[in-house]
Amino acid sequence: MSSPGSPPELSIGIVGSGGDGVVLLGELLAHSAVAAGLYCYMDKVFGPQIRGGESSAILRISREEVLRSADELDVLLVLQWADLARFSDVLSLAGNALIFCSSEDETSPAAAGLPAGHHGPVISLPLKQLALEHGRSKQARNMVLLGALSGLLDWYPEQLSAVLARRMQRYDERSREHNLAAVAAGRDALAGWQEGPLPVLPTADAAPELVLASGNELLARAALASGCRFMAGYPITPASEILEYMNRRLPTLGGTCIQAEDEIAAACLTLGAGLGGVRSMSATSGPGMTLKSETIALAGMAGLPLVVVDVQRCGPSTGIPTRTEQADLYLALHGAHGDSPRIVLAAAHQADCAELATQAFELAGRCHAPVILLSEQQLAQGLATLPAGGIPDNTEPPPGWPERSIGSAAQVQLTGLEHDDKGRPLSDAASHEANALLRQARVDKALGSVPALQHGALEAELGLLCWGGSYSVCREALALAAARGVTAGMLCIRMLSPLDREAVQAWLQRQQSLVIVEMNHSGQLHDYLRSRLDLPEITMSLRRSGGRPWRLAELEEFLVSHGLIPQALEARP
Amino acid sequence: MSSGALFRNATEPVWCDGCGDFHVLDGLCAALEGLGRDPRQVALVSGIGCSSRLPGYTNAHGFNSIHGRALPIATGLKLARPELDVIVTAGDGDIFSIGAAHLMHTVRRNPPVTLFVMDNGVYGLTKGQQSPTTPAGTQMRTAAQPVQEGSVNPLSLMLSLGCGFIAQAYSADPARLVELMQQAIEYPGFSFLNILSPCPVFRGGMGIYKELRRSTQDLQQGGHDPQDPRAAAAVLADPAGIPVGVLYRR
Repeated sequence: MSSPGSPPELSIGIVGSGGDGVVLLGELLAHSAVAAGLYCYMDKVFGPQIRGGESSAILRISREEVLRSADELDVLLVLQWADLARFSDVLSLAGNALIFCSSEDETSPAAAGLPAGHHGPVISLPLKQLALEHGRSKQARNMVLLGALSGLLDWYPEQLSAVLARRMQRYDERSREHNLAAVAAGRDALAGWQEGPLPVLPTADAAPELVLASGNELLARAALASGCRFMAGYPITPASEILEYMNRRLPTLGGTCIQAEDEIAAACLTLGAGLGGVRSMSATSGPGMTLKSETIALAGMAGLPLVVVDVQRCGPSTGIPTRTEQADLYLALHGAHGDSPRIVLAAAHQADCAELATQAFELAGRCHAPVILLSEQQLAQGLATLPAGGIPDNTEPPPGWPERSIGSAAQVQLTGLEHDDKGRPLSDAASHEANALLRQARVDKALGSVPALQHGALEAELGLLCWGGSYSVCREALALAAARGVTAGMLCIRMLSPLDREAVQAWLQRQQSLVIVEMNHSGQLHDYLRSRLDLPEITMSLRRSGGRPWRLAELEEFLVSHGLIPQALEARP
Repeated sequence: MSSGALFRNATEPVWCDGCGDFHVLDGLCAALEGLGRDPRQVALVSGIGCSSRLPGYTNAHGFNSIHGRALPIATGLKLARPELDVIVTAGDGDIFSIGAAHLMHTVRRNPPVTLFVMDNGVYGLTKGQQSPTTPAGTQMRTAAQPVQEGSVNPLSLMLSLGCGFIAQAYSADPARLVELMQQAIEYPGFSFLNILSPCPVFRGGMGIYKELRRSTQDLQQGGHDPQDPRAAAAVLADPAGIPVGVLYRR
C-alpha cells in the first residue's frame, strides 16, 4: 500500500461559482482519499449569494489526522479565474503549485490575483467545450476537471471509481453516462502530458476504516443517539443542515421535527416538548440566538432543561452569514436580562461537536438548566475524518427528561415569575436572592463534567489558551514551537460556564507566558478569564475578527514578533 | 353545571374586583370537571398578563411562561404528551399583539390545542394602555388622545386564517361560557374561543357589563349554521350585535 517516497500531505483548492459543482468535486476527491485510508479535512467557504456566487472547497489530504486546512495549496482547480480573486483572502498558493484552469476564460490569471512568483505548471483546458461535447452540458466542467486531475496524479483510482459510481446512483441513466464521459474526456485530454514535475499523492501505510463528516452532521447524529426526539428550528446559515438532518431522521425514530415560524417559536416549541419530558433541542446562529434569549432565560427561571445550539458566523446583525467567527461568547454567557446562569459548551473540532452534544443532553437533564452549545461555521460545514466507529449511531429508545415534567404523577406548576418551590409567584427580596443562588447552583452542578483539552508540556515556557475552533491551529502552533526548541503547552476550554476556575488556574500557574487565541475582535475569552482568574504577568491576546480560518503563519508571526519563539533558521521554500 | 371544585385550588387570584377573569376561571374549572377530566391530564399554558395568572389558580398542571409565547410552548408540550388536554389561557395583548405571528402558524399546524383568549380590550397588568382589540376612538387613561388605530376583530382574523373551530363567549353568561368551553376542548383540532372578559377598572367601568349584555346576540338562537363558512363571513360582514356562540366549526 505504502510507497517509499510518499509525502506527508497534499493540499488542494477548488474555486468556482455556486452551481459549478465545486463542493461536489471536492467531496468526490475527499471521499476517495478517505477510502484509500488517508485523513482529509475539507473547508467549505461560500460567498453570500444565493446562486451563482463564489464557492470554494479547500482540501488537505494527509497520512496523519488533520483538523484544519493547510496554509498553502499544492494544487488549484479554477473553474473561473474571476472567482479566485474573490477568495484571495482565504487561498494562498505554494510557489510551485499545479494549476488546472480553463483556456476559455476571459479574465487573465494575473488579474485574478495569481502571484507573480508562481512558477508551477499551469494546465489550461477547454473545459466548457469538453463539457458540452462529452458531458452534454456546461455543468459538467467539474467532471472534466476531475478527469484531468485524477488522470494526471493517478488519484486513488479504485477508490475514486467506487465513490463516483456510488454518487452517480442518484442520477438517471443518461446523466450518468454524460458525467462519466466528461470525466473520461478530461483524463484523455492530458494523456501523455509530460511537462514539469507533478505533486505526488500521499499514500497510507495501512488502510484504517475512516469516514468523513461535518460538524453539523455529527452534532445531529449525537443528539439522536442521546435520545433527542424533538427538534424545532428556523432556517439559518450555517445551522440549517442540523434541521435538515433531523427532519429526515426524527420521523423514522418516532420523533418530531418542526420548522417553526420564527426563532422564538422554535425555542418555545423546544421548551414545551422538554416540559413534556421529551429530550429536545433547537439549533440556530447568532441572530437567532439573540431572539431566543428570553426563552433561554425562562428555562433557567422555571428550572427546565433546554438545549440550544449556536453555530456561530460573522456578526453583528446579518454580518457575513457564510463565514466563520467565534464572537458569540458574550451572548452565550450573558445574553438575557437579569441574572440568568446557563451552561455554555464550545466544540473544539468536528468530533467534539458530537461529544459535546451528548454532554449537552446529559447536563440539561441533570442540572435542569439551559445548555448552549457553541459551534462555528468552519466546524459545522467543514468535513473532518473520523474512525468509522466514531460516528454516534445509537437508536435505542430515548431516556427522556422525566423529572419535573408534565405528564408525571405529581402536579407541575411552573412560572417565569419569581416563585416558591411549588411554583407559586412571590415578590419579596429575600426569596429572590435565595432563588438566584439556587439557579446558580443548578448550573454549578455541571462543574468538572467537561474537562478542557490539554496538550503539550504541562510546565511550559509558552502556554496557548483557546476555545472552540481555534483549537486546531493552536495544536499545530504547539508542534511549531517545539520544533523551534520552546517548551509549549495548550489548553482549550470546552465548558465556558460554569468555568472550572480551579482547574484552569492550576494550569495557568505552570505557564511562564500565556497567549489567549480567539477569533473575535473584542477578545471575549481574554476579558472573561481576566475577570475571573489570575492570569500570568506575561499574558497576550491574539485575536482577530473571523471571515477566514486561521493560518498557522498568523500564529507564527505573532509568536516570533513577541519573542515567544525564535525565527525559523532558514526561510521556508 | 359542575362546581369545578376539583380543579380550583385555594390560591386567591390577584385580579381586581369586578374582573371578568373570575368567571373564566370558574367556567374553565366547571367545564373540565363537567367533562370528567382528571386534573393530572390537563395542562394550562399561559403567557404574561392578568389573564395569564389563571393556571396557578387550578389543580391542573400549569406553566405561566413569557409574553406572547404560550402557543408554541403549548404546541411543543402537546406533541410531546398527546394524551394531555393542553389549553392556552391568554389575553388579547398576548395573542393578538406581541405573539400574533404564532396564531397564524398554530392554525396552520392545527395541533389539538385549545385557545381561550380573555379579551378585555386593554392592557390591564400595565394599568390601562390600548390593546389590539380596543375600539378606535376609546379614550384610555394612559393616553392624551383617543385611540387612533383601528382594532383587530378576533373572529374575522381567525376565519380568514382558516381556523377549524371559532367561537365567542361572554364571561358573565356562565352557562353558555361553560358549554362553549367544552365544545372547544372536545374539538379534535386547534380550537379558538374568544371570551369577552371585561376590565371595569381600566376600560368602561362596571357599566361595560350592562353594555355587553345588551349588545351580545347568540348566534345559535338566531339559527346560524356553524358548518357554513359563507354564513360565518356573512355574520361578520353584517353583525346584528356582538356575536356569541359557535361562528364556525369545520
